[in-house]
Amino acid sequence: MRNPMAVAVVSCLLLLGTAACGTAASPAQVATGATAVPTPSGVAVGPAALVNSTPLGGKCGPLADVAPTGPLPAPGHMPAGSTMAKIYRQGYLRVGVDQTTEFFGYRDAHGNLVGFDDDVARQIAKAIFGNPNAIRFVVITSAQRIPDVQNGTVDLVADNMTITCDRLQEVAFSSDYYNAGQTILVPSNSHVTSIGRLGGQRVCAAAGTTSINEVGRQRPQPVPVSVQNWTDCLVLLQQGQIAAVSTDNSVLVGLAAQDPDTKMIAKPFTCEPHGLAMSNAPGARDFVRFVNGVLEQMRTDGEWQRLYNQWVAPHLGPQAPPPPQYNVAVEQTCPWL
Amino acid sequence: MALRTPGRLRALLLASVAVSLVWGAVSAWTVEQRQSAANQVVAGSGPLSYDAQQVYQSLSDADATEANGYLSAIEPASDVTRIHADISRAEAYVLAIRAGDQDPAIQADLTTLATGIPSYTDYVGEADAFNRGGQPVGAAWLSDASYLMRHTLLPAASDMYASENARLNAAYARATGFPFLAVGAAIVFCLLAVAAQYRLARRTNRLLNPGLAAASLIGLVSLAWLLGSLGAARSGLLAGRDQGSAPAQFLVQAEVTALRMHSDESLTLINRDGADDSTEKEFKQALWPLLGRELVSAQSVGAGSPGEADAAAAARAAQAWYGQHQRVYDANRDGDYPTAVTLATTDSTASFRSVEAALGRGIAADQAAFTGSAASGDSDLGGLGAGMLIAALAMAAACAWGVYHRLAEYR
Repeated sequence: MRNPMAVAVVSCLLLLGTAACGTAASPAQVATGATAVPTPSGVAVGPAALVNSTPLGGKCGPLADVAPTGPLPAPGHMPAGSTMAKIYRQGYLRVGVDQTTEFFGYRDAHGNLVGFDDDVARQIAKAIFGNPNAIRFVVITSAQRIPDVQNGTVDLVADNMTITCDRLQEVAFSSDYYNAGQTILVPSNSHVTSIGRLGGQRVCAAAGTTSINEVGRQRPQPVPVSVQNWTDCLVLLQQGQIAAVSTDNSVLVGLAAQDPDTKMIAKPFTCEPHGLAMSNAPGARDFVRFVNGVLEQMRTDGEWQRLYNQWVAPHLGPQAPPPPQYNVAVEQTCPWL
Repeated sequence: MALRTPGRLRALLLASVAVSLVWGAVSAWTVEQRQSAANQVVAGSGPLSYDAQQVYQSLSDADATEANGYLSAIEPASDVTRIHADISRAEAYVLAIRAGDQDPAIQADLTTLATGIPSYTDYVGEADAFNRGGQPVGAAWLSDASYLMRHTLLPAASDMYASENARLNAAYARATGFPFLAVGAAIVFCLLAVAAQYRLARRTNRLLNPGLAAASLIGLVSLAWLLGSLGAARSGLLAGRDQGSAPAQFLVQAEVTALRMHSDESLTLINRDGADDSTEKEFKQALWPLLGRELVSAQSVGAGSPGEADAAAAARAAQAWYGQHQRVYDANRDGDYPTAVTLATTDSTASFRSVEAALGRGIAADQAAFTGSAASGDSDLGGLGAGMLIAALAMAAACAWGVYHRLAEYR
């Protein structure tokens, strides 16, 4: 029995009554899909996708203590003992950002982190150091935004973050620096025109976001699919594993720009104020007030408009800076609602 | 004493011829078994183990090269070629194993690889295309590719490599174990021969029956030949294992570990897992100690092997590499991403390459030692089986001749 074929034939004959002869997965099994389509890491489907997600809105003000008082200190001359003075001593501002959201926070073809959020953060660095490049970006996922602020990995998070009452229990937010609204991204040949038509179908959003929570709240309910990053949703859409991606138009427009075979449904169904997240420790309120002062200055000196026009307007149309509200926290009116 | 003397002599004639022939059968069967096991080492499991190793190494290399290449703004052409070569090599060896090994478990691994590799190349193609356009979704495709590689393809390749090695070791055991049956039979037959001589001498008053004496002598010589040849084959095969395949297995494991670390370093920078650090943790907490253990094992198992010096050199190079990696880590932790990427694609990659080069030299040297020693062990058995049969026939003839002469005295 030196001949392996003979061995194979004999052992197959012995096995014939009980099992299929030959390989463990026959070509027929493979062809009929017995091997699953590979999915990315960190994907959750159904109720598991909604873990740690957070609802929108609510009233949880007042936040009068972080309204700007008087002019900003001159760059490089932060008040002694202040949070800003501590950051100044550290030599740079540490900012948590996304690297996958085109136009807001992403890597350009040269590997540099750029976008609207990143440039807003640079303005904060400029106000502290007199140099917009005295900044170190730390790339984080959506789900890490709150933990990283809380454990001090970063001084500030500038990452498409919606201000909500739940989140205000855990971190402090700047005043509203941008208004976005949640909508959907579908394949360009799809006939779906609103999220209401996606009941029972798979809809993707990043884990730990208000977006995935909204997906779970829709009736008829879609099947929520959560991932780590927004681009993972786009991959699933390109693979045909989901029917739509649903989140802020600010994120979706960046995904649509990467794939001409997708389209974003223009009319959002939420109104979401975005804020920069910082520590809510009592001793750090001065920094929140300082950041609000910088944002105030950007609204009035045209810097906000300039950045918006550079990064966002070409894709989402004109918008004026949202007026700051320090008394009632998370209510905003958007032109589309 | 029922039989009269001529009857006894006739019985002795038959018995001695039968014993000679049985000895021939036992010794020739032993040789055949050994030859088959040695052949399994040299021509069966040995090459299959090598093939599985090639699949495992090639896929690991593709994973690491793709991740590292992605970090560069423009992926170097040499990386693209290298990944192509890796995937082609992996597929060629998958086909070779499919033809040479019908084991159902191996076939299942092969099916996993054959269906998964095209998906992997698809994902990598998407990742590269989007990366060229500077689009962030490329990183998500790359992450998918790497996830598929690490959670489906590499486990199948590793499983297959482990199975082939286990079978190689089993073949070694069969080819080098003590030949109990042959030696036991030889002892029994010796005692029978002595007893027969003794009784014949008492009955016939002749000191020695020349035929039986000649048969015994031939029997002893054939036993000595058998043991000598088996011993020579055994030492050749064991040298092939101890100085070749055994240390090579550790070096291959070390190379795969190093490749995964190289890949982890890149993925930490590409993947968004910034603060989550799962790949960085794997690098430092799991793989670095593992690499150390594998290199120590390669040196202790392969003491005196041709690859021993290379294993030591790899261990030294790995220390330097770890220092370079720490610089990448520090830069990334401090948010100095451009420096981290530059260090990862230059200094750290260069250090990794010197680890890899030392391991490659060691694996090649040990592999050559295995092939040479095992083949010489295998050839030590050439002609032995036929020799045993001829010796047995000669013994039977001598017995028949010797006893027949005594028998003739009664006519």
